[in-house]
Amino acid sequence: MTHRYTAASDGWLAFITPARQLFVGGAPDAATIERLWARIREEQGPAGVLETLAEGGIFATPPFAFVELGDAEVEVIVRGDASVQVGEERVSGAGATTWIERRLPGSGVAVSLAGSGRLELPIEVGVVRASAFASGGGALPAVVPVATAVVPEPAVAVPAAAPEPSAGEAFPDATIPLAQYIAEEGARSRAAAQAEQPRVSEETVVELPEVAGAEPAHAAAGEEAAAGEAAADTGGYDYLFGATVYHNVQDAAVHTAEPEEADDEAAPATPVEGDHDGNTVLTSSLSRPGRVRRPRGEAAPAAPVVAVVLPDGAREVLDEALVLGRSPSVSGVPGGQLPRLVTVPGGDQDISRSHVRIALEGGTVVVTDLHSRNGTVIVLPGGDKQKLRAGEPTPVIVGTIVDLGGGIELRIEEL
Amino acid sequence: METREELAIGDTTVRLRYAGHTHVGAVRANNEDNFLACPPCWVVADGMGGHAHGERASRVAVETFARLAADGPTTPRTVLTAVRDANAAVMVLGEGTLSGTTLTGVAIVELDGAGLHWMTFNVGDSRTYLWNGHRLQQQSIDHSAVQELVAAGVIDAAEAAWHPQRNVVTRALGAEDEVDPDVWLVPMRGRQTFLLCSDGLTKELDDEEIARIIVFHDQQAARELDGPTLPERLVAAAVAAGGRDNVTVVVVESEGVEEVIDPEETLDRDPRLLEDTMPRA
Repeated sequence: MTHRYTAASDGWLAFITPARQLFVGGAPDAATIERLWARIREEQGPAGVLETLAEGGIFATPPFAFVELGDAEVEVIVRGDASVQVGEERVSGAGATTWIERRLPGSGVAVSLAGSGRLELPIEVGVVRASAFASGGGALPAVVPVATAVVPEPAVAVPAAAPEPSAGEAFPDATIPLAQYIAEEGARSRAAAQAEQPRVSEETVVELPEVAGAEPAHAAAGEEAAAGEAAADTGGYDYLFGATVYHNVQDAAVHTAEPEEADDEAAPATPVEGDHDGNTVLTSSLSRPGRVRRPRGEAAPAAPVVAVVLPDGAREVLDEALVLGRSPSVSGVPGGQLPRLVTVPGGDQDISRSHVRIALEGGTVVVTDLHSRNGTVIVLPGGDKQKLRAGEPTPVIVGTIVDLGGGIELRIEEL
Repeated sequence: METREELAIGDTTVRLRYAGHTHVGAVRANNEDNFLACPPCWVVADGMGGHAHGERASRVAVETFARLAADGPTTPRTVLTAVRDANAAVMVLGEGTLSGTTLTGVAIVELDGAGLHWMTFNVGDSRTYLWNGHRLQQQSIDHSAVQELVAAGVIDAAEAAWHPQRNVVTRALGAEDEVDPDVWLVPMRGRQTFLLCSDGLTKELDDEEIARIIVFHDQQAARELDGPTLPERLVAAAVAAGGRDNVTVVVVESEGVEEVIDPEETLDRDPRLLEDTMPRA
């Protein structure tokens, strides 16, 4: 599918694939860009992308927009000031501490980002800087110059430029710019933590039914806190089960302790109905809405069959990620992404136990040195050598030789 | 009762010692914890949900793993399937009610081309620890609200211990149609000791206290052969310290019969550095 975008050197980074697109504000580093590009091309929906974006914690997560066109639905995830239009519906992340996730009926999408470009271009696949994007039946939004919204360091309360509404857009005047909100909340929760006076630090993710009707963010946070305290007073956890709230690993929206409660807890416990002790409570009994599947009718691009050839001639097909080494192990990976462990024969002490990870990500072979003691060198088909930086996923082409040292070489081969 | 046995897998023999113990605690009326200690799998499950729901949820999860051994060689795939099956079983059980269970465990798995490994898997806030003879190291990462706050640097571990939401888990069996456990794979070598426990232990005893009891137990066990097992000792200590929740402990130790001496042994990195796919602050 060919999309259209407005090229802008000061726009957001746009990761475009036929089926889904990711737009990221701020200035992600090269390694992050590489990872995001690999993740957006995986056929796994937004989970991998969100994990990469949120890996530094909520306050360090850049503003972004994720769009995936389905049959008659569009999956939209927005953090920060970007705005996504599907039919008559417009979704923006402004006012949400984490992000807004919606699934809307429609076949076209238009995305307004920051930046000042004018040149409209077609695109199918690639990473570009864009100030606007459209796909399907969506019309390319007119670009209004907006300052790029970079999330500032939490401790520095820089008043960020207020997002200017695009033409025809109806943002309420009272909306506080997200960046400013995050900065203030961040500074406050730090100060609170230092003063050992813990207080509400993060707001529960609430899907706003209408962006235009959004409360000012601070008022919303206050109400949330009040609701939380009220629930705590009655000893119930009901507020955790609200239909619009989902606590998962990435948005861990919880309230910090009230000091007097902590004192109560310190006293010898007696069985109290609804007491915090004992009852392990699950934050959600709800199924997560809107798990993304690949749109039907659009076949996945045929993945090349690539294998790693070991020194003894054995071939390990890259149908899943491989971790290779003298005695490989893995630590804390999701069960769904468990790599295959391969012991490299010729067990030389030069090779680390878990030396290198090789995986096929979105049709590209990616090699990552796993902080091996003696490092990993790749030799390109032309003979150029490059020492990998530890922990940094590096895309390589078929024909590349991965040299683990000690005379152990692995070859990337297409079958 | 501590069990000692030799397990033959392929052409390797592994010497095993293991024991488990659970106690309702000093405060609560029901024990919603369940455990399994049966090669090749050791599991602790902490049920949640009112009435008898939590107890049933954790029992159903554990029973799923009891069947694992009968299904031929244990591999990461069969263990992950068992986790999914356990989730499905708890989902069925919880139809219309709010029930679920945590699950943490270790299993001896055979990897094609990489030999025997210890596979650790975790969903929820029960824990798996490694004991190296001197130091207790938490291997699993809690799926809990306070763990998120700790990871974000909002509170520290000491504050987490007393946080009013320390019982809120963010992942559990029986919560959603699909569950994805965190997984660790460590090659089997030398002597390896795993300690699995429900949060009833770690809410009463910190890691240092647990380590002290393990050392004390090793000294005592050498003198009196009929004394309590390590899980019994740890559970008793947690109950004595308050016992506000059910307490469950399983300890399993393996020793490979063919010992490979590895000069790198003492220079090993923190295993958390090996993979960068699960970044934590």
